[in-house]
Amino acid sequence: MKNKIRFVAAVIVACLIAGAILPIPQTSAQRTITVEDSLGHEVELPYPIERLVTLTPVALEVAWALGAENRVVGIDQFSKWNDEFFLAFRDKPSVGLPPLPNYEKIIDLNPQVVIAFASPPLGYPKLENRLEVAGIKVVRLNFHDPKTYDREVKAFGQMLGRKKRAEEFLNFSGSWVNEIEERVKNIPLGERVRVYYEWIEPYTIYGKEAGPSQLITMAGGVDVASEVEITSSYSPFPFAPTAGFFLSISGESIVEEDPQVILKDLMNLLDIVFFGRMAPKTIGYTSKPDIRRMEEARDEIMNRAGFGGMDAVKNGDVYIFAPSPEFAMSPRWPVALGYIAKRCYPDRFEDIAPESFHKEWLERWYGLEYKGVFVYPEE
Amino acid sequence: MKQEVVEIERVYARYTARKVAIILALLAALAAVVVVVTPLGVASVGWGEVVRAILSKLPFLDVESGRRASIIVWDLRLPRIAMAIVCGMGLALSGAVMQGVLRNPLASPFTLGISSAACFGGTVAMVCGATMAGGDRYVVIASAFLFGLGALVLIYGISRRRGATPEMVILCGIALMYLFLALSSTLSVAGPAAGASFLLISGNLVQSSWETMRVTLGFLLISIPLLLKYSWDLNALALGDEVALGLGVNLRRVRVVCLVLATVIVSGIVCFTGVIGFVCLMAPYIARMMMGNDHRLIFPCSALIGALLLLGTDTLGRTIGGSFEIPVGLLITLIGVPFLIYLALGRRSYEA
Repeated sequence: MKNKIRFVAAVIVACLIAGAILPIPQTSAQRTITVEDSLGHEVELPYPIERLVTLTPVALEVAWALGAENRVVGIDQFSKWNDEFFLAFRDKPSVGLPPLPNYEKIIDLNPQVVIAFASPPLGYPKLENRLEVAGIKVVRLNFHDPKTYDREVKAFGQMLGRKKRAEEFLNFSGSWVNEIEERVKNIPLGERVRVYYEWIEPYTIYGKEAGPSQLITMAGGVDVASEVEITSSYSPFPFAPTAGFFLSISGESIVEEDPQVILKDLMNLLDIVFFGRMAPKTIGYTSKPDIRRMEEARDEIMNRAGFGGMDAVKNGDVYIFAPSPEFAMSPRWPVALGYIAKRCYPDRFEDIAPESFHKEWLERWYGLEYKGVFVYPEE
Repeated sequence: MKQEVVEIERVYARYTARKVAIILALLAALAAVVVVVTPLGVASVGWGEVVRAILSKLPFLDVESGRRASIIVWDLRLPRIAMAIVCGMGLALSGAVMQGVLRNPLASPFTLGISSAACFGGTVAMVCGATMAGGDRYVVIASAFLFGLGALVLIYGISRRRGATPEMVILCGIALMYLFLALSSTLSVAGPAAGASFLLISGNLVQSSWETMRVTLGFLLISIPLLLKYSWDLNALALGDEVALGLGVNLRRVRVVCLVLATVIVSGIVCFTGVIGFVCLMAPYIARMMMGNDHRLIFPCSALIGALLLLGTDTLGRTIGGSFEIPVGLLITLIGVPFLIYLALGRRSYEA
């Protein structure tokens, strides 16, 4: 009898322990979560998100970092074209180019949510309205803006039920960013290195609200373009004019500002139009790195009329970066930050190795082997 | 003598019957094209599902259909097909009117700069804060109409000048077209509505919905009876001002009313689709080749050709590149430019 009582008690205790340890399965269809996106929209979503479409390569990258690659049911055409980096997503169907997404395809894939840019406003005409009928929610997250990056990754992690992994991911990148900011915080304003970051065409820049300008400031530099009067908004894409995001300035004012470091985004309109890549396939993440185009871009700046007397040109501090959508304005902007800091203050950052950090990032969060060329010259 | 008249009447009846047969054939072709293109698309919705989705919303039929297929067919495909038909008809009709009134085969809202002026007007309204949602859209359309009207007055003035050749008028029109397109792009770069208004410039049917279709159709339905009423007068006009005057046509009124109606139609389209060129040039030209100079026949014929042209091209644009859609404005330009060159080179034969 006693044994029987003992046995029953043991079973009860075992059940209680099991109940405490094992999560009680809930019907996920009934659970929802509300997240605020970067346009300030409060969006109510099913929780956790099991099926999503990413309309931007950066969102796809973060979904990957958060271990949600199997939940992505459709990707944008730019990611599709960048198939060496996004090899793991090669078989995912494309939903078209971000400015003109194919609504029919999106609805056909039946995602619970579509992740799109909040800015630049590259069209996405009435995405919310068109997808509303099918009950598909739109969440707008940039992932390219250091100011909102943490909040966006956290929100994304929450949606996916990957809060912990999002925190680990942010700790990984955040400690690197903090280290850099810590080392430059005491540099007096007058001694800060003046940096000019040029975009696709000569004298075109990102506005000071955009990532590259912030990276320069975080790296302890001064973005000379942010001090120059803006002549006009500029967009090489006639179908996607974006006010305030891409700007053009006068060459004279840059010469006058006399930057000490020049960074140039290697992007090419022809590559975008004909190959759907921001730059040749031999630049950025690639198994066939070829620096010729980077050399040409650097030579052009070194020999540009009026640039001869500049400190940056005289000292050879002109660096070509891989296209910003895949580098300085991708979720891996901390890597670019490392390079900028190191190029501005080689002594302060002697022990810092952005390439190793990049390698660790790719291996740890994407399971990718490090390869390609991202900055030229390397040293 | 009487026998001769009977013979002439018989020949004319046969002639008319043939033309009416062509129009009926075009109508049948349009219906056939609609049936063929509805199941086409990037979504994996098969023929059977499409048919079920269509039937499921029809009254008195008890057909069940999947929610997704129903959304794709009823909220995306069918409104877009309907919009392509309505816009194609409207553009072609307005082109036919302008060609008839100005007696210029190269005339059309596109080549006269009226479409892009209207597009600019729409962009101005949007930059000022109006949207295409709800009643606001009529403000945008009104603004588009006013700017279109401005361009029209200018072009009409030029065409009434002594010694103005048709080519001169078109040249001025193309200059206006570029002016307003450039102004529209500048505005949409500067304005807060950049994202919304850029679409107006590229010319496409992506935003089609039942609502936009209804608004555009409304403008078209208001204009058609009046245009048909004036088609007799346009026939007289085709024979020259003197003949028309002799027949008691109020030249000024016919011209003004017809051109204004054409501008109304174009404004109602441009605000939703942007500038889609060439349909309004090609369709009436082809219709005129088939129908001769009778505007009572040219109008329906060119409307049907316009609908076929735009629907066919848009279907190509939304299916040919998979998920990667090609805006119909671009595709139609690829077809239209050679046509315009052919027209420009072959004009002598037209005059003859």
